[in-house]
Amino acid sequence: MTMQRINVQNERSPYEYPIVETHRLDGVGKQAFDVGRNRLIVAATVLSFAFLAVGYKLVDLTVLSGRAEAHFASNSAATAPQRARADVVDRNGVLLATSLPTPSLYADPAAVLDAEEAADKLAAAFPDMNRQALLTKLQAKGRFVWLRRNLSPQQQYDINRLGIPGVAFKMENRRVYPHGRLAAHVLGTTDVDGRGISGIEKYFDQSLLGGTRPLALSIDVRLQAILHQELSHAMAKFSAIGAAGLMKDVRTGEIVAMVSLPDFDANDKSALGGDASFNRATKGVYELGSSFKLFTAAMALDAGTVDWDGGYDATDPIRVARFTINDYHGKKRWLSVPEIIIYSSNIGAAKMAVDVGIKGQQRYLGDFGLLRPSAVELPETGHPLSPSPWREINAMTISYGHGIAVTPLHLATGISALVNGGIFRPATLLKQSTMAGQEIPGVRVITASTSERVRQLMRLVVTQGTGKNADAKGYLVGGKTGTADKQMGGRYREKSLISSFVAAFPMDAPRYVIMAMLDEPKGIKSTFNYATGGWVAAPVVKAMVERAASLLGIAPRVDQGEEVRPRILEAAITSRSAPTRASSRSVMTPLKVSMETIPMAARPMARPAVAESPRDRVARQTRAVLEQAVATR
Amino acid sequence: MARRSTLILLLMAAACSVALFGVKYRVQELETDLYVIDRRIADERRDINALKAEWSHFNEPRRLQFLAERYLGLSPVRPERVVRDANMETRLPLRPTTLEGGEKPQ
Repeated sequence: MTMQRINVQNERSPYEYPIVETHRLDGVGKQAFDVGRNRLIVAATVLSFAFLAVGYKLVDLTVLSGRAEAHFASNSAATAPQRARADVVDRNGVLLATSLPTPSLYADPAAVLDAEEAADKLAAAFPDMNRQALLTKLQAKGRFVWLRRNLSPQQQYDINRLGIPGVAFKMENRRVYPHGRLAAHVLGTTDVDGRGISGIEKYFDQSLLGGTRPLALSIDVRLQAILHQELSHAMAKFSAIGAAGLMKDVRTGEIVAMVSLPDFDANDKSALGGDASFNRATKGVYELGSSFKLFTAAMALDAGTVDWDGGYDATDPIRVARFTINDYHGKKRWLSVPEIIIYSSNIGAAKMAVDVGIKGQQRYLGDFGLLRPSAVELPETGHPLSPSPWREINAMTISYGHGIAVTPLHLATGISALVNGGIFRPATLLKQSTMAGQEIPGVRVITASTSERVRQLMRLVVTQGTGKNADAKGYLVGGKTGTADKQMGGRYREKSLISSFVAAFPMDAPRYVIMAMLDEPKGIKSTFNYATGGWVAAPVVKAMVERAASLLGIAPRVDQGEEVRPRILEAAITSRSAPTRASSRSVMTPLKVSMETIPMAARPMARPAVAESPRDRVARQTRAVLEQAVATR
Repeated sequence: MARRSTLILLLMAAACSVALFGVKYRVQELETDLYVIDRRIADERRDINALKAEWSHFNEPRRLQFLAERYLGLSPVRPERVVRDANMETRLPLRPTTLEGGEKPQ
């Protein structure tokens, strides 16, 4: 009955609900209808809430959260970090190591139709690959086998053109070292899967893997290149089997250049291993000889066991047990402390050490960092060899650098502490960021006045002693030679030397320490067949100072008398009164300005080789010099 | 009255669905664009990285030195080439001496 009525209503209008009519119902029909109506109301309420919720969300998404799009855009795939390994840069931001995606070739042996033909084609494309080995790989069971990793674009193109079925490419990140072998031992290498296996790459493996910011080293590629060049040159000239050198900032402990030869090109994985991957600068420990006399003098002066004016009798050799300590360039007389250093007297140094005492010597050498591995950020750090038990005879030989073996880095770090005012700062390969005027904290190991004395000794060695070949005019180089016979199986071998020179400059306020060492150099005619530190290593330091100083903004100080005057100007000058030093400003960047603040244009090496003819360049430079001179008058 | 509101609602529903389809296709289009742009950004980034590596490679100090020596005739700076401005007049006479003190050149 109900249905019928509704139907009648429906005929009138299919969409109007017949609510009015229901009032006419009664009894069971009315009850059933009420239940239905209630359910309908409940359902309608629930649904309207649902629609309200949808509506609210709609308004929320479109109107209220206006920044949602920006958020979406910034989280897109392009901005997400996808670099496999962080870059390594030098102190000026020059790229030293980066990861580039390169195609790697793989095969799906199941999809290879004709393995023989494929192997023929691939062997023709890669002449260095064995056809048989390729065939074995292509016929292997399984669905994946690497054929060759990290191809060049040209190789990829060639393989694609061959059109071998079942062979495909996969992009992989490859570690690239744009400077090749320049800082090979510092950077180290990675394996084919991009894991560090030596050098900085290994030491900072975890942070490089996770990091996106480039790792800034303390190395300066320009200085690195100069040191590399000068050391390679010396190594070839004196037919040495190896060489090591480093340059360090004495105020921060930063290593700005470090070279070990022979070295390797990390881009060429096949050339790794062997002697070339051995880091002589940080891993190799050597008896470095007479340079240790500086430590001996420093500790004796600092402990007060001898005065600057004091000295020792070096007339007769010292005989202890079966050992005899003698001098190479014996003066056979009483020598003052400066003379002991200048003439490199073993006898004098040994006597000095005896007065300091074994305990004192151990304490000072420990303070100079010479008895423990260096804290530098490399996995390749050598452990110094020192005698145990430490007897008096050991104290005597150690005083002139025998019977103790340290790495070149140890020596440079110790000398830095001697010359920088007496503060030991550990060597580091990471760029140190300091505000102007702020100092890297360190440990005081000798007094400032002792440091001053040591600087004078080092300068004397260069002006009057064994280090004359290191005297770069105007830069006040000071240093000490070191020549030691190499020990082989417990015996010293004559003629196989470790010749080194350690220097600092400028000596009145040292900025850098430079260390150069040659392994088994042979004397040549121009050195009168000498292969000692003063003949083979000192010239390296001299060249390094001369070429590096202008890059570093250290102006040469040339006395008036030493000035080289162009002859043509002589007449014009002589008629005038002596020039006065009106201004202490120099044409070069002032000394106090640090490397970072020098604008790029002021760094000669960083300036790109522009298309300016030599004549224009000279004209421009002359003009600039003249303008500056006029401005200061 | 009811019929008219029904009609209006129907029209609105139709308009909404048309608009919705429009928006949907627009969003799809934009997403495709975004994907393409993302891909291109990633490609450009890769190229930039490769170019940076190449730039660093070509600026290798030894190479620059070789080129500078060969084509520009330059050589490392010698200490005696560096002059402080205080010493400048010992190197460069800035005007003829006759103008300065009235004396004649010798």
